[in-house]
Amino acid sequence: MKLAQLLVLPAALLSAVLAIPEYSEHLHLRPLPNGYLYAGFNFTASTSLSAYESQHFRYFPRSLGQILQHSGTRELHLRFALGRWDDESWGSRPRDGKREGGTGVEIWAWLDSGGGKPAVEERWSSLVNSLSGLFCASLNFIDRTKTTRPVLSFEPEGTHRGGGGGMELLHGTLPHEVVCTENLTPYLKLLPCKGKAGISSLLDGHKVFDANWQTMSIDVRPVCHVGEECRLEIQQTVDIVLDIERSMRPRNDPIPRPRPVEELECDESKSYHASDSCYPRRKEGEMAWSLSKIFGTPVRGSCHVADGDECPDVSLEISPDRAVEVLHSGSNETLMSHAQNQRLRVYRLSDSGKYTDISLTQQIIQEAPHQEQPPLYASRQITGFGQERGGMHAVLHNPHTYPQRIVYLESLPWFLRPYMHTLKVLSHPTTSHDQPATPVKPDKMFYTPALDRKRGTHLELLLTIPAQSTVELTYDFDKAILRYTEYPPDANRGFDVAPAIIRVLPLNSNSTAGNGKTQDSYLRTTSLLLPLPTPDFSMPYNVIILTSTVIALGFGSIFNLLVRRFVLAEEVPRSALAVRVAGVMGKVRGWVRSLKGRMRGGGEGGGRAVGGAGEATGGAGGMNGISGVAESRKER
Amino acid sequence: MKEAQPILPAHGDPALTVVLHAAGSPDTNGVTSRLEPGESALHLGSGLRQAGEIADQIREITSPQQEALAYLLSGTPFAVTEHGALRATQNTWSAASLDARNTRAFKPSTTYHLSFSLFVSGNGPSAWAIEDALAAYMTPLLDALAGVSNFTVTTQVQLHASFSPSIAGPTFDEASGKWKLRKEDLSGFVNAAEWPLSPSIGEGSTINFVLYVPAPGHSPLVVADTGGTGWLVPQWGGVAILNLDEPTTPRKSTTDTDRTTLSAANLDEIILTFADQLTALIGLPSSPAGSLALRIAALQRERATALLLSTASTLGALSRLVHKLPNIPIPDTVATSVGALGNAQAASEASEKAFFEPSMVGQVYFPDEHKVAVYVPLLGPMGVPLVLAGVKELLGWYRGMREKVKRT
Repeated sequence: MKLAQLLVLPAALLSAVLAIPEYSEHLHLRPLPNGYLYAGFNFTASTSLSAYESQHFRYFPRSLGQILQHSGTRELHLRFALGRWDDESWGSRPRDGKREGGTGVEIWAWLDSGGGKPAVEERWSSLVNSLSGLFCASLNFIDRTKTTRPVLSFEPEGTHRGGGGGMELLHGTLPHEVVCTENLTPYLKLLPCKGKAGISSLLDGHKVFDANWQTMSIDVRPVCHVGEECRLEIQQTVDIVLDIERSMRPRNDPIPRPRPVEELECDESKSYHASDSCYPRRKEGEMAWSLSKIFGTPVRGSCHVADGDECPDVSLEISPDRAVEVLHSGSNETLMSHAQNQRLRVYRLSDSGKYTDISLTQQIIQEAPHQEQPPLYASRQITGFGQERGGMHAVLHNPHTYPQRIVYLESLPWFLRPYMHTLKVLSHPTTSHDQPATPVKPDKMFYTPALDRKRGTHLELLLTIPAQSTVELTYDFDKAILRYTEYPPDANRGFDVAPAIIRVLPLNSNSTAGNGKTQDSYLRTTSLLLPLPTPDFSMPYNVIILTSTVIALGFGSIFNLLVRRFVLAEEVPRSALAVRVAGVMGKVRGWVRSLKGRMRGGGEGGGRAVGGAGEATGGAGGMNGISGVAESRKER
Repeated sequence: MKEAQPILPAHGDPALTVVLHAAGSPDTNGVTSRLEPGESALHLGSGLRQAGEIADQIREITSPQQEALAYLLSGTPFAVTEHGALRATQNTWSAASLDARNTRAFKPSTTYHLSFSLFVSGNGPSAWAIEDALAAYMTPLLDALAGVSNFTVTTQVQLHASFSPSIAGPTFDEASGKWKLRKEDLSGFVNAAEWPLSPSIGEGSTINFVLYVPAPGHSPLVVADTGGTGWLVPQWGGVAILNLDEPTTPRKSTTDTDRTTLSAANLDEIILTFADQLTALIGLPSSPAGSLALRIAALQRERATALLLSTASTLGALSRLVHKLPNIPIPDTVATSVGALGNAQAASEASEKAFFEPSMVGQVYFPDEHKVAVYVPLLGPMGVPLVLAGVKELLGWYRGMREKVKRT
């Protein structure tokens, strides 16, 4: 792969000439409403393209670099995500949603398109298989049915020669994948400080995967600046939203328990407040928290390994009125701290300090929290009932006063068969409910129908969402019946459908519509669970068993006909067992009779007569016994 | 098919050249002959004795080679052969040394990936002049070995490399003022769980060379007993320790004002050590000493033999597997790849591939017991009356026999 030859300097970047350090890291912290904290980690490393091609790696991870070279990957985007970003209360997404992924694993990459379609598919398969091994994820299950080739939704971020000619975009998703610690460990190993120093020492699987929303990303792209050699940049980000109260639970007692009564904070102004009833008091102001309590450990050391790295490590986006205490050990050197603007405070970790901790106290701030409104709200559901068919229903809500152009991308599994003639896009204004819905005509539509077991559906719509209105997108689909062996072990759980990806296009600079963003942003809906008709998996065994029983029945009667001799009932000799049983029965009968006789005799006479009677019955008993034996002999 | 073809280094130079040329000097009237490129030159006075001498010398040079080939073949059906030259070696000392050489060396392969890694226990040094050092000391050797295998080179720097928890760690020796690493810890020194030493992608084995820079608090770090700073891990690679603050190398440290970069001067000895380890790891014979070309030619012959042997043995194993597990399906690809015995190397690779064909593995775990279990509802009701009837018939026959005996 001759990347250097394929790269040219873009005109857009000619102005910005900045010496980028070979490695830098940054942590951004921002408290969110209702006791949440957003923490965004960013690790950026780069290498010159000549060093990359001759395989001399310094801060760029060798394991990943070799995979990219082997598979002819020009630009890679990999996402591991969990949870849901609550944009109703948390506002717009961090990094404009560009470093965010759909639930599970998502990957898209631009590959060398040389050698035609089979060669590209070969490279794609080699890429996902190698990454699967590197990140301990099931990426190798991204086969042709889970791969799409979006047209409008993604654009290369790096600077490629000829505006991105000679390369092809492939996109794959694994919504079922559960992201966990085994993915974080190899992720941290790619970093120069490996989670042992600097801000990466805060990343601990227990905390990261306990978050309400979490996304890990890896982005590799070539970056060129004028007057400098082109570089290959790897950007790793971890964005998490933590519940402050939940994260500050002490580590030695991680099980959530009800609080003791003394610790409950009750609203005593309520009329029903009593010793046995408590109305929880509303939390006022901002919560107290510190890095060491939330992440379980303070920042260990620093990771200033590159020359010319003077960037601040930690930035804190809080109200200017809040008091912040910075604790550090090891030296008296104070941390660099300066306010770039009112809300942002930045810190640089000291090189000699062993531990650094940032702690904030509880404080009541009058100022309303600054919240940026997201460009769009989106949600998607499956409608209908039964196991045969259903419908998809996506709701896109534009809260702004200007219309927005979006690209709506869906990649559906092949066993969900949409009917495109039922596709309806209707728009309702949110300002007045009386107006009837008006249909919206998509500006462009790209649709690749599914092929059973070979290819999934790819649907891409270029839409304009009118100002302050809600657009509903609906279509019907059929559910396919899978083959017996195609069901996973937990077939009744349902099948995951990858989230829809929505790209909000930037507004034209000459448009007078409003103050929209000049950069595009992304958002994703949640993934869906699609219940498919599941067969009774014991059925083949039931059939085998039933057939076996019928055959055995037939066999039994024929076998009896062949083997048995048929005689009259009188001719049948009595078997030894029957005779013995009859003998025992006779004895028992005799003994019972004698007992009865004795009882009767005892009741009639008195005094001496009792003995006689007793003897008489005894005799009778004896007689009976003899007759029983005789009988049995006769029978024999 | 480089290996199976004779015996010349691929770039066309003959391995052994006998140069006979008239010496112009008046004091000797004979001819000077010397073996080239071997160092063992002989200067003889008389021209007539020379032919015999040269023949002797060639025999001497090739005899370890003979032993090596005989050693390779010993224990295989090919060992019994009419060629007297390939009789198993009687020399136990040379057998033991060949054994040691074989256990150290990698499996023969067409491609080797060399991975040079700098592991630093702390924050720095975070760069090394590895490109210059490799160009100076490693590239010439790799060029010479190009006829044996292809080599790819990658380098990496890894900071914050900690010791493996499985080893006891170095202990400070007051007497010498050095940190000592116990000999038992050498095998576990490489922290395989944490150090990113994943093999390179693609066919072929990866040979790892690790340069470890201990923390200033643990420096100087040496191996106990020997006091050395480098060792070889059989079939894996080589490890070297670089003590930066060692008082014996102050001139190197002082020139290197930038503490974050290891200069090529720091690295030259280490790269030479690695080069020496590399020859051992790819199984280059140690004799005839002094002539690299002859050693490489010998290695090529051994490679050809070993590849043929491994092909035969893998095919044998596949055949045994197929006989042992009759209910695994054999895909057509396996049949065709077995047929591809065109040349030793291709067949070797193809048979290895066939042996590990993934589609065959799944069926191994469907045992016959399961089939029986599913058909028990059929076999049970059919079997029980059959067995009972059989027992009844036997009893009847037995009784009939007894009555016959009583009657007579």
